[in-house]
Amino acid sequence: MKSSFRAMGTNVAILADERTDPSVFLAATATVEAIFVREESRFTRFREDSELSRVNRSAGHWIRVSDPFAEVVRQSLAGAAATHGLFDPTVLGALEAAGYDRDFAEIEYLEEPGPPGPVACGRWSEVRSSGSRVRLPEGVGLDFGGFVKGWTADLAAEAAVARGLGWALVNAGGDVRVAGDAPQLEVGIEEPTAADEICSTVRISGGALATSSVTQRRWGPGMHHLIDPRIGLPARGPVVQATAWAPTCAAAEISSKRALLEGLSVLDDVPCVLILASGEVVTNVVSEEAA
Amino acid sequence: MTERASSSHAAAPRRQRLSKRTLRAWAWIAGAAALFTPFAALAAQPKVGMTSASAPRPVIIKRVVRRVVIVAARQPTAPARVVYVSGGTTGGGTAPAPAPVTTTGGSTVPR
Repeated sequence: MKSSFRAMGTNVAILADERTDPSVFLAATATVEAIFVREESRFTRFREDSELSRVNRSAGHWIRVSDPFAEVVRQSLAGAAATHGLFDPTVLGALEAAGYDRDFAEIEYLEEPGPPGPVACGRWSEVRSSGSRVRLPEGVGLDFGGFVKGWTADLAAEAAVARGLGWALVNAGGDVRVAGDAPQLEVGIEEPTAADEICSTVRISGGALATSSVTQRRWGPGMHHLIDPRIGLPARGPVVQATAWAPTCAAAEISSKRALLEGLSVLDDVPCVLILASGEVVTNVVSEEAA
Repeated sequence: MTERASSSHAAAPRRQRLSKRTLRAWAWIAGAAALFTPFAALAAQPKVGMTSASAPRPVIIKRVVRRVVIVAARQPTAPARVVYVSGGTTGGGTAPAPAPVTTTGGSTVPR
């Protein structure tokens, strides 16, 4: 069974066992959609009245936040520390300077965009979080990007199972989370330059997959949404797309960004499939024959 | 002469004319044959792409898009819950792989 809707600027799909009672599936789908709507309104940076916008306006001061917001801040700072800053929730300034300063649907593709000046990143270590209060350093804004999408997919998939599904797969624009007692499910990895084509396939029965790519959300040559915090500019490296597996989608999001920015050395400790600019696919995920 | 001629005329067997009923029957048979012959020819012609049910389907991979390199990591990192199945192909053969249940591709923007 499958149902889909649009949220967080992308398509969200929910899959479940074909034998599921349709009324149970319908209720689970409604729950998933409500979770996405709720978290989108909390974490969007394109609405003045969102909690994220309110927190960003309060940079330099302590501000009380909701429990989910505090949790996302806590997890994202832990991710930044674990990746030595390759995953950085404070790249908002660099992202806006590069041109992603409004909803992506409103951004025009420019053949010759003006080169953005590098914007210093890495101030995640100055963000303070204590219980339900957060303090950003002055001049710094948060943007959780795809991390929140993955975190919401985790919440939604677990809620769908709690609503009675034997298992559920939630796919939020490529952030895939499987919860419950699922069979082996094949997930295609899209071609970086042609989303309609599959370049590889992996099979998962649990956990999550997330993909980071420099070929999506582009608004000009070399201009895309994935900021390399080391240079404060859109990333330019040998990896054009990275798909990572982790127990949760939030963790997979962090790992996929690290994989894309770090390159081949990530294969030592992250299960992932990398697509290089040369066209090669490099993976450390055990192949079907060896499994 | 007259007698001979008369005698020879009498020797030739008189050809019996077919009855109207028989003629009509033959006409029906000929007409039906003319009508159905083209259909029979069409039905009998060999069919394109038909193979016997027991024959294995040939798989023709026209173009391998990617070369996949599986790297031996320092530690076994791929848990049992994720398995690499295949590199993709395009062009396809006569026995395509089953479509995956979903895809991942990096913050896909809906079109």
